Amino acid sequence: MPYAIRIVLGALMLLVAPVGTTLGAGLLDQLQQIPIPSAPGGGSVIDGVGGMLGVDQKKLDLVKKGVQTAQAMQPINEEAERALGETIAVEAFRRFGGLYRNEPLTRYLSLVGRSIAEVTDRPNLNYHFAILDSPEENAFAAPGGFVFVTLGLLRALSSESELAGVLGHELAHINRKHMLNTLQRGSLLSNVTELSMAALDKDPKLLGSAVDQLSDLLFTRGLDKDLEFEADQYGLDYAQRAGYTPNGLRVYLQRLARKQGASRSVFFTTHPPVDERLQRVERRIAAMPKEPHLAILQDRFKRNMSAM
Amino acid sequence: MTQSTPILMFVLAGWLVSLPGHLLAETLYAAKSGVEVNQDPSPTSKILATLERDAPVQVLGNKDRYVQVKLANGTKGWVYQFKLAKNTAKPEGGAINLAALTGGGNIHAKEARSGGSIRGMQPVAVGYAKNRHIDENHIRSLEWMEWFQVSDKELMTFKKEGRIGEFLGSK
Repeated sequence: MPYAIRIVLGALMLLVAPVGTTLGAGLLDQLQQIPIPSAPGGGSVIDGVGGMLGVDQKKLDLVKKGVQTAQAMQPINEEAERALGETIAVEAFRRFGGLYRNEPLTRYLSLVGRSIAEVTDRPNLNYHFAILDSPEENAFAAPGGFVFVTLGLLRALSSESELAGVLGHELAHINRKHMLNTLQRGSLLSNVTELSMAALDKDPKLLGSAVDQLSDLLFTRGLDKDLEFEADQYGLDYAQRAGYTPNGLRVYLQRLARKQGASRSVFFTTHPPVDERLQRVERRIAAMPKEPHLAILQDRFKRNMSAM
Repeated sequence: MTQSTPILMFVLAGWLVSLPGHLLAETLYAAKSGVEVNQDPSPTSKILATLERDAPVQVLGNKDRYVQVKLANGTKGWVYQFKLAKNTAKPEGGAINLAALTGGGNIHAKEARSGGSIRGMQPVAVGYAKNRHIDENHIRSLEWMEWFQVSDKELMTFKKEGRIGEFLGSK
C-alpha cells in the first residue's frame, strides 16, 4: 500500500513539475525582456545591477541600505509625485532658458516620447514633453511624468533612434522613481524625523525643502551614478520595446564622448563619465535579443527638426 | 489493491493531461484601457474586442511581438505583447500626506495607472511658484506643457509611418 501511494505521488510529481515550471517562467517573461535581472540566489535587483556593472560590495551595501530605508517609509503617492514634478518643471523652465514653444517640434517630441512611454512599466502615467530654450546639451525627467530636452540636445542628435535612446533613459528615471527614492533616502539619513508625518504637519516649508533637494539632484549634483547606469539599461530596453534600435543611445554617447572636456554643459557634471556609460551600454546591447527591422529613422528626424 | 495501483495511476495521469487548457494557461492583464484584441497578429487586422484596464486574458501562444489570447467570453484573438501586464494595478503609495507639505487637508492615495485623472497644475505647485517669486511665464509654460497632448489616433499614425511599436516589420 505505501509503495502504491509512492508510485502515484511520483507519477503526479512528474506530471505537475513541468506545468509549474512553465507557469513560473511565464510567457510574458520570455517575450518581454527583463532589462535588469534579479541576481541569482535570491539577491536583490541592486545586487544584480551592481554585479553586472562591477560595483564593489561596500557601495552596494550602502545603496541597499538606503533603498531599504526608503522602502520602509511610506511611498509617495501619485498625486504627491506629480506635485513635486510640477514644481521641478517650473524650476527647469526657470533655469534653462524657458519654454521653447514650437508646436510642430513639441508634437514630434511627444509622439516619439509617447511611443516609448506606452511600453514602459508605468504606461498609465500622464507623460508630458517639452523643449527648453537652452543651447546646453541636456535632458531632464521630473517625477510624475515630465520630460524635458534642450534645443542644444536636439541639435546634437541625428536620428529618431538617438532621440528615443535619450528619452528612454529619462523615462527610466521616472519609471524607476530614482529621484523620489533618492529624496526619501537622503532626507532620512540627514534627519530621521524630517519625513515623519508629524514633522510634515508641523513644517509647511517641507515642499520647498524637497524641491530644493530634487533641484540640486537634477540640475547640479546629479543622481547616484549607479542610478544613471540603471537608467541607461532600462532605457535601452524601453527603446527597443518601442521598435527603435538600442544603438541610438550608443551612437549619441559616442558623439558625446568626443565632446567631453570641450563642453561646459552641466550634463557632464550631473552624469557619470561618458566612457564608462558607453562601455556598459555596449555590453548591454550585445546581450540584448537581436530583432530585425528595428528603426533608426534618420530622415523623419531631420524633416521634423526643420521646424526648429 | 496492488492490482488496482497502475489503473489508479493512469486515471490520475489522464485526468491531469485532460485538464481544460485554461487551468494550465498563464493569465495576463490589460496594462491600460483600450487594449485592442486583433483577429490576426497584426495591428491592421480586424479588431475583435477592446479591453478595459486589468481585464484578464488567458495566453494560448505567441507569434513575433503578439500574444494569442482567449478572453473571458471565449473570444480568441491577438494582443500586442507590451500592452499586457503580469499583474493587475495595485495601489501605489498613499502615505505621504501631500497636504502635510502645505498644512492643508488630506489628499488620499490614488491607484497606479490612474492615467488621465489628474488635470491642471496642483495648487501646492502653484503656491510654491508664487512663494518663490517664479516668473508667471514659467507657470504658464508648465500649464501649456500639461495642456499639450497628442491623440491616440495621431500616435497610431506616427507609429505606422515609422514602422515602430506594433507596426515593427510591417510592409
